[in-house]
Amino acid sequence: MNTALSLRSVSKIYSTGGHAFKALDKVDLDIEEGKLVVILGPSGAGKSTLLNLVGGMDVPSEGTIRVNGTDISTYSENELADYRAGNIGFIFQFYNILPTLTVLENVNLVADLSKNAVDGRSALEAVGLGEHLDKFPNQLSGGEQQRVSIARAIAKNPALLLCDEPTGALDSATGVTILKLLKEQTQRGKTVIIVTHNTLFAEIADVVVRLKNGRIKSVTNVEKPMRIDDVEW
Amino acid sequence: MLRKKLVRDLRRNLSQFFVIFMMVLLSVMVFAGVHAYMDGMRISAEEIYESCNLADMWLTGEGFSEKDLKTVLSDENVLAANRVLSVQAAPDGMEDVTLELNVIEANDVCRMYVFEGAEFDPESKDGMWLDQEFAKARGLKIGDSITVRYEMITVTAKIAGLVETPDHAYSIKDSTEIFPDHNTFGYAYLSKAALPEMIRSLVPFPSILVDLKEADRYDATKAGLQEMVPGILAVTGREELPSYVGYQSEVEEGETYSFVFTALFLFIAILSVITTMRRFVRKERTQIGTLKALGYRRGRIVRHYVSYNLLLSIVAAILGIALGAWLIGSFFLNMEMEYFEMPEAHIVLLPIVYVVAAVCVLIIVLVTWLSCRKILNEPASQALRTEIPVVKNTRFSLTTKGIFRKLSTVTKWNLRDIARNKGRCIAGVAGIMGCTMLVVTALGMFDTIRNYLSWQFTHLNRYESYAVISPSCADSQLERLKETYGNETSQTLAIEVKDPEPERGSAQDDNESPERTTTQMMFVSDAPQSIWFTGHDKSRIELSDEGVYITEKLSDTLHLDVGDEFTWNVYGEEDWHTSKIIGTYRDPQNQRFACTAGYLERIGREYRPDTIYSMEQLDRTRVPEGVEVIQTKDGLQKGVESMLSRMTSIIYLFIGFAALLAVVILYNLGILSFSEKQYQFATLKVLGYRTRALRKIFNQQGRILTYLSILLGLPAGWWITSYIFEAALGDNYDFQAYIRPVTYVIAGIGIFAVSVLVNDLMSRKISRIDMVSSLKANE
Ligand SMILES: Nc1ncnc2c1ncn2[C@@H]1O[C@H](COP(=O)(O)OP(=O)(O)O)[C@@H](O)[C@H]1O
Ligand SMILES: [Mg+2]
Repeated sequence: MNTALSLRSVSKIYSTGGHAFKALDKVDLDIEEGKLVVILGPSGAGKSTLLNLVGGMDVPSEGTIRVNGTDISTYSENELADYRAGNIGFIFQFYNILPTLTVLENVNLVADLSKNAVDGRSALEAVGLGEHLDKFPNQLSGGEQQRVSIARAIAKNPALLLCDEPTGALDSATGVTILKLLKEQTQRGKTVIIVTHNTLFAEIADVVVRLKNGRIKSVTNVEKPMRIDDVEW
Repeated sequence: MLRKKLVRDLRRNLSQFFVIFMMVLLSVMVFAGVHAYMDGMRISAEEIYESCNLADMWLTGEGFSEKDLKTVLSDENVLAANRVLSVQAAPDGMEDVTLELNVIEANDVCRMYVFEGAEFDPESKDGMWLDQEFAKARGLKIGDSITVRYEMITVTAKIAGLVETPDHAYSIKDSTEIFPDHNTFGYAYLSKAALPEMIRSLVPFPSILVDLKEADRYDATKAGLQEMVPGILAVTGREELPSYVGYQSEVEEGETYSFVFTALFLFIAILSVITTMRRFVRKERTQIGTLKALGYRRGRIVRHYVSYNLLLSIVAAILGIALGAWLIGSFFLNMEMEYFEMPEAHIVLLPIVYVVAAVCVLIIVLVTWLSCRKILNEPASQALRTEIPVVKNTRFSLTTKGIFRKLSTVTKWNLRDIARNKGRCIAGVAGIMGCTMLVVTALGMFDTIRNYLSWQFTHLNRYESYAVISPSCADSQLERLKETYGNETSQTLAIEVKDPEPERGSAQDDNESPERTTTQMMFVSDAPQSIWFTGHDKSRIELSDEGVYITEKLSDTLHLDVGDEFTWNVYGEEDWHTSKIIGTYRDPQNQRFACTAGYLERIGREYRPDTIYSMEQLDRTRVPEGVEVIQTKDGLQKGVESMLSRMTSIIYLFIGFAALLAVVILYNLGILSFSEKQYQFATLKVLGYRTRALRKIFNQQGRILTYLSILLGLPAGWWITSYIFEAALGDNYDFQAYIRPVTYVIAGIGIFAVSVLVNDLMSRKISRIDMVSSLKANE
């Protein structure tokens, strides 16, 4: 299997008010293509920081990040923007969809960004929102809004889906449907990284990365992940 | 604790407070500045008119005797009276200069204000009291000797004092000269004692200046004097004194447009302050909720927020009054005073300025208070919830259908954002529209005046020079003048016109009171090449000898139409004529009757020219015998140029302020829209939009609003300009606002450029959006 993602000695140092704070400390990590990766750790461990670096939203203080063999840690601002546009689908805890655009328009936003973008309508059908194309976000439930955000992410047809606490604002039943959608993506060859503090997620992951105080405590490859429906949420 | 918060909040919301501060400052400044100088002009004049005793009444005749003067003085309502002989003389050794020489016996009325030198001395045999502006322009000093020549008489005198008199506040050579030029025209006073011995007793005094005890009883006194002194040909009041009227109309003219401009400024300012304040308090929603939850009383919280803006706007208002009065006010007063001679002119701050400033402060406080209260009325729990944009889709239903479907997603997003923030956008559009209006109006005033000047000076007046023939000019002299200058002449007659509709009043009234007449002017032309007449569309019409013509505006006032007959006589004469109106014409600045010399002779009146025109540029200094003054179009042009240059700086000031205002409004609009959408921009950035693309999206909204504002502002500018000209110009004028197409283009492009500039600066903030922390802020 190809290596989708490879981090070498990656550190992120925030300096606030004179003293420096190491949010990530010499992280090494390799992720294979098509895996569902769950990054676990307590609040403040550096999970979001790691995800943001991989997603090209921020640059590491030191170290290299290779995505499909290319080093993105030296990219310029525009190169990073193009990298995000072409390779990364983000899914956030609070959906981050634009309130004044309809569901379809929100997804179509990415159409002119990514060369290999898929049709917004089919992306929405894939997440089960085919009937709500012309609705505005506030007419949808939280779970539906998160599905819009997933549709927007997969419409780009990216190699990497990065999800930061994607179910954090949802009830567990709705969370399960979201997780199922994400799992589905791995079956299409995409690499999905989910950041969470919910340890139950470890049960369904292909790879579990445990993070604490900016350091990787363990990387576990799970031979036989549980089916989502079998987990007691 | 709250005080510490105040300081911190001020720092955090610097840009919004800056907007409020600037808005209050700018509008109070413009208002105070314009008022300080307009009120200053008016009140300075009132003071000088009072202290220097400006005459209330002018008596004109062939020559008043000492006995006449005594009779006038004997009237119980007459406080003081002085005889005056006023002639236009040429001083030796000064090219191109006319000096209005006043010979007086005493100086009780229209007293001199002495800047330098001695008070007027009626006994002085060699003293001359000279117009100080003229002296300044010509570099003349006390003790300098001046020789003046009038017809056969030569007088030499030493300058004894530099003075200004209240009846010369606006002093021009003759009524054709619109703008004072201190370099070529001045006035001087001589005592009768300074005249050569042999003519002293022969001096005719054709006018008497009268100071009345009670100016209200002007009409009664006038009638009494006319009865007692048969030599009186005409009695005039202040309203007929060109100096008084000229000065007054400058003030009134200014008041019209300054009112329009400052009202606009205040309106725009208040509008943007309201939006800023509402936005600010909304942003503070969570904080207000927190304070409330902590147990602070409502009153205390409200006071806390109101105190921000109270403090800020009071400082801005005080600064605005000070800067307005001392910068703008003094600047314009000084500029006006280069044209008007008004000693001790000073700026004046009337209570209205403080009232308006206080109202501005109050409005700010009121808006703050109302916005605070609205949030305080919500339950604390609700206020504590961060404000997630609530969108009602029904509002946008329009934009999901029809032609909107074809728009790009980003354009739709911008349009809906505008729809969602209607209040803010309308305020912004109104503001920019106001600025566009200001620029169009400011430039349009320029265009209008230039248009009028070209109509008057190149279309109607075709001569190069003209000579005013003196009344004493003999027939033989006149023939000689015609030989040198040509045959083009004219005569202007003051006429009395009988009210064409006497039936209006009741029949009995008519029998008792004398028939009502109005005083008008009749221009008798024998100069078809030099003086043109224009019809309604400004095309040329040629006068025929068959009857009388009337200007359109006068035709409306007098209800005299083509085909009507009217009865008139030459002022002071007994013969009445009845003439038929055979045509109307338009004249920008003289509303009067006109006929040809041929017609005048046909009805049996002698035509005696008082002006002779020449197609050549005549030498203004070489005035032949029988001629009073020579005037060239070139000379008039110079006066016009200097007036326009004076207007230019006022106009630039308004344009400058309008641009500044536009910058503040656009900046405000940008800040509001940016801070509101920062989170959405961060999302788009995460999705992979490049900074440049995002800036374009951001600018699109500003651009849409600017287009709209300009589109509305251009016609509104035309409208305001015509309003100003309608309100400011008197009955004598007949010209409309005219704005060149290129002016609209300039105004539009100018405002647009300001908008692009401000937007571009604002959009730089987008590259500084930190995706990570922006998105975190929403958590
Ligand atoms: N912009 C920043 N400046 C300073 N410290 C930061 C910044 N962003 C994150 N941190 C710190 O880095 C650590 C890791 O943050 P984060 O990656 O968001 O944690 P989490 O694992 O909860 O997602 C936290 O202790 C946080 O305080
Ligand atoms: Mg996190």
